[in-house]
Amino acid sequence: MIKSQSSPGQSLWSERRRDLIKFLGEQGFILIFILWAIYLTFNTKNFATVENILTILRQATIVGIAAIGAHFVILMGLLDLSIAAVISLAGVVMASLMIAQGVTPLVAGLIALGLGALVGLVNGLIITKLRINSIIATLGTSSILTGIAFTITQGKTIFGERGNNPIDAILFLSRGRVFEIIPVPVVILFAFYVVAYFVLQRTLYGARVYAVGNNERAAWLSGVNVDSIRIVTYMLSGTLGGFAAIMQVARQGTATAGMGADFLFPILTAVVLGGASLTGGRGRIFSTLAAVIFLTSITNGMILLGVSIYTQNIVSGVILIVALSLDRLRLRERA
Amino acid sequence: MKLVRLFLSVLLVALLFAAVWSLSAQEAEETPEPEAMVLGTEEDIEPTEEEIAAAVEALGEDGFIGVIACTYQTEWHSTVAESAEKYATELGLRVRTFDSEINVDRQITGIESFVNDGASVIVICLFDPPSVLAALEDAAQAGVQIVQYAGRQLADLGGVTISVEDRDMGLKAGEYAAKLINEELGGKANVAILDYPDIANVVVRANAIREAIEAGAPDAVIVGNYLGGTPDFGLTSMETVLIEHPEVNVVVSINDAGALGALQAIENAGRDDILIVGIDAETQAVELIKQGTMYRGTVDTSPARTGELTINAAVKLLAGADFPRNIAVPVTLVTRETLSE
Amino acid sequence: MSFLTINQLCKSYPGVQALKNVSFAIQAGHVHALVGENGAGKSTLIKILAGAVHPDSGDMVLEGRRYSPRSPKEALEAGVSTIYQAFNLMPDRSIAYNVLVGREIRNRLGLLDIEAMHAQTKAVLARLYAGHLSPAQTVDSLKVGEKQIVEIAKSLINQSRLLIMDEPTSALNQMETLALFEVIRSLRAQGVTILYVSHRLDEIFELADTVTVMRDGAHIATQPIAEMTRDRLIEQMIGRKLESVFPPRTKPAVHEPLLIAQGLTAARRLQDITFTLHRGEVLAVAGLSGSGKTELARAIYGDLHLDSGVLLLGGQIYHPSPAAAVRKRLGYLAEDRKTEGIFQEMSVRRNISICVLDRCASRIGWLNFACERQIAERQIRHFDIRTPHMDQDVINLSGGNQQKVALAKCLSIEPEILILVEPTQGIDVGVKFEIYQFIADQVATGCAVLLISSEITEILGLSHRVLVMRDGRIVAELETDSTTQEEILRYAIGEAKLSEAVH
Repeated sequence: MIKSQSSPGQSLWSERRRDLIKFLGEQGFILIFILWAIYLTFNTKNFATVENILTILRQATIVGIAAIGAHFVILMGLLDLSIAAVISLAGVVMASLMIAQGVTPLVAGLIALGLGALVGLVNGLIITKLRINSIIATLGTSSILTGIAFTITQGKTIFGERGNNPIDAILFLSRGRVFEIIPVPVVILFAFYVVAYFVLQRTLYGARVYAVGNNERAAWLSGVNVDSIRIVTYMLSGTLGGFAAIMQVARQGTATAGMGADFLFPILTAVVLGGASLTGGRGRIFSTLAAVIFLTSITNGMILLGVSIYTQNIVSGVILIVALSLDRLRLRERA
Repeated sequence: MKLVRLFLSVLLVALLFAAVWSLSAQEAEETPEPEAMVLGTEEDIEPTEEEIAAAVEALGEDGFIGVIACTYQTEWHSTVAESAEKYATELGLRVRTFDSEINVDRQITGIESFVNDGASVIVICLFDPPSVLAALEDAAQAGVQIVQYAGRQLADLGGVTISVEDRDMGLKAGEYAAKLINEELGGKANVAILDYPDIANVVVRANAIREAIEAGAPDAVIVGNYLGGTPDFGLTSMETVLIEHPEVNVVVSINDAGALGALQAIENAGRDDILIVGIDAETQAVELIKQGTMYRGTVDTSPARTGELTINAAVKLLAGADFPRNIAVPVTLVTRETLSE
Repeated sequence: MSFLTINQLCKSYPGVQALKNVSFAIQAGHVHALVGENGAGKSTLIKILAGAVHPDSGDMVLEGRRYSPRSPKEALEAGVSTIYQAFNLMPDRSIAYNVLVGREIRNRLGLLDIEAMHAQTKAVLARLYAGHLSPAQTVDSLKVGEKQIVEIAKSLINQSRLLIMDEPTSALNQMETLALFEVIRSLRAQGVTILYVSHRLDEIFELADTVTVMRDGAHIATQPIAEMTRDRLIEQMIGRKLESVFPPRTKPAVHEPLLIAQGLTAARRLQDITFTLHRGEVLAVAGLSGSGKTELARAIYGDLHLDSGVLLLGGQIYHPSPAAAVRKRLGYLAEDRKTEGIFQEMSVRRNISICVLDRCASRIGWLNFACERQIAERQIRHFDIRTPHMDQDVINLSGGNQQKVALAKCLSIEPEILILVEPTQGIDVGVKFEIYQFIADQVATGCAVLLISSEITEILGLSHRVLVMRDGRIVAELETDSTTQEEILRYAIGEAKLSEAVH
């Protein structure tokens, strides 16, 4: 069954090298991440402290959770640009239900999740049944959702009365600590990624997501219901957007119609940086997590280093391009 | 070949770190102040009874003042437009309003239809001045006079502009911060400024904050400018600032949104010894000031007054009076003291 | 004296010796065929001749002079042109521009002299029986065969004396192939030497003067084609004795209809197709490309919408869809392996198990990997799939093994009916025979096979009955034992009908 055409010594070397290149190609940013971390460790007094690392992880939570959804969608070779708008709308709806209508946190949270799932369902139906390109479709829903969010808030911030704020009931999601040390959001973040990993690797659904992303037509011919996999995945992405909204409301204690907008770029950057192929079929969920943490550490590191705010954009742009350019290694290997 | 590339990448990273180091070592260069414009005050355009009568007459049977807002979606913008409408009606001037919905096409349509319907003055908020310039020139050709608010782009073209000055806001916030430092902290403090350098106007604000603190509280140390502007950015930056610079005890922000995020981070960290000053007089910020929290002050950029001033300028134009073309809208400080008055 | 002499060429890549002391000679003005299975070293040899790859040792002599091109450009200057399977054309530029790129004609102002370029292109195209093409047409508007002509025209403009063609007919239909042969013969008459690399032995016997066989990087034989037989050529390629090309056919044990198609019609592609497929039989569908034979297979599998007609599966009305087919144990091997058959960047294991993965999942969708491995392992053993381990990505396997994976996927559902579309397209002779054997084995267990094929020898060797299609209709139903290649072709092209009409 095994037919080796090569002498063992040569094959070992070439295989090692191929593995290394493959690894760097898919997770090349990790090298940059490590260098960055080492640099910060020796050049700042606070980077390598427990408190700072926990802060970075805590800050990575919202983007991290939403990036799981984006990762799943990108695995299918599609995009979900509405995640940020889902965060905004679900956050605004949840906060106003709790503050203005006195809805209990649990119900308001479930409504936020349901809203996300509903948006995902609509996205999925538009993309599969109307056959509209996923970028256009989700850009469209994104615009509608943002519009609704602004209509609800009229441009104002939704906040509760101090000392009697209904949002205080969910503050444990952002400020709580497990065993007095590990922040609750960090626990949630890692738990979500572990679950996502097992869903992708060990379930029928995960196997089919990869199959659809790898070769949609072959998947259809293999009897996979491609449309329902897509719809379910968009619903998952929307629901995770809803959860990210809950976490963000808990984090900032208020909600605005623009609260999700700034997350879109880091979410998509993290997934691509993590090595997921935009054409689908390839990507590792933990690399996306590492990329989210890396992105957060860039902002954190620049504050610790005291880099002028005017040059931060330049520096973070260069770091990203260098990290992404390692991707070229893989493409060359292929050609 | 691939290893060469890998090596190059590593080299690039090394260079990058060197660059970061050198940048972090040097002070941000001062951006040169734009040449100061001579500005009139609100008193300069306070109309007399005669002028109001003349304006009413100038409008005649069909003339009206057209107010074109940038948007009605934010509190600030809708307040300006609504106040202008209300005030003009009180003076007995016909007025019509239009929402551009931050859409250039729509704004041009609004200008054209007001001109066609016989508007005498157009009061307008511009979000993309170059794109609507042609439409405004056509309007001027047709004899319609233009008053711009929330910006000064028409000043160079001889138009009338009614606007708050970012510099005034920054100075007001910075001066109040300096006052707090002197009165409550004995003149010594470590200050973090929350910035949002993607918008040029905001840079002017941030620089004015710095200038006022350096002048008013020379012994205070400004630790740095950090990204704010939205609650999340303010929150994220402040979390890290508190780790690296726990000595920070004053935060001044270019707006309330960023300052509110910072307050959240400060409370999360269990700190209660930091003074916060913002800009914009958002409802939530005003509430917090009233309740006696660490949030100590904000700057009211007077949307309602802006609306009234645009109409005053329109009255002057209609009455053919002579007056300074560019008017500074006053900014006022909001503090515990002003709120308890 | 030989036109090109190849002497002791060696080339190693990390982990594999691609060429081992290869020596042979090519005579001037010959069509010299180069055959061998995948991995035999053909492409490495071509790349060395084209200057794209440099040998580790050995040398070459071209027309008495030492030939060692350091780049494709040098090879071109020495008169050696190579036409790869993937053409090297600029799709949005005109034919003339593509043909004359690097040799543009300029007028006195230094501008392109379009008229002169068109005239020169026209003249070259005429030499290639392609006078109907306009030099101003853009390349992307051309058919595959015509693009190939443009590539050949390019090499003629370069006054190449050796033209290397790598699998030139792989994307051509029968008519285009015949046209290409005419062009090659005329080039030979004009004194151009051609090195012709192909899998298709029929073509080699029809076209070549000399044939060189390679296997595992080594030169096996170079002989005039007249002294070579088909079976010996195959034996040399695969390196073992060939008992017989096709396994013996057995008569179906029972007469049991499994699939009945009645009046299948799909807009402009299928017209009123009616036939019955029985247990234990191979029913072949023959036809030229565009005859509707692939569409018929797709329609039965539910990949093409039917406007009318009824399908009966095991006596019950069947509404086709791939998902239903998998449940009803109807297997389908798609025409295009890469885009339809396999998941290139997924493991061999997952490729084989994907159709039946739900059998290995608990109610909440949790996968039992042991179950999946068992399914994959059985098929890997059954098909003798050459892979280091079942977690290897399919893209790393050879073409033949990829096709075996695609077949293994079909067999994972334990099909009662198998629809095979071009099951041996583009794969090595050795694997081809293995696949024939699998088909025979499958039929022997009572499976029914609908075989869609463009290779008439394959149809004659494997099937019990043949349906011939033309213009979306079945034009003939023939018993394989009592028909001939000529008869099938006549029906496929339409002559039979024509002569009937005359009588």
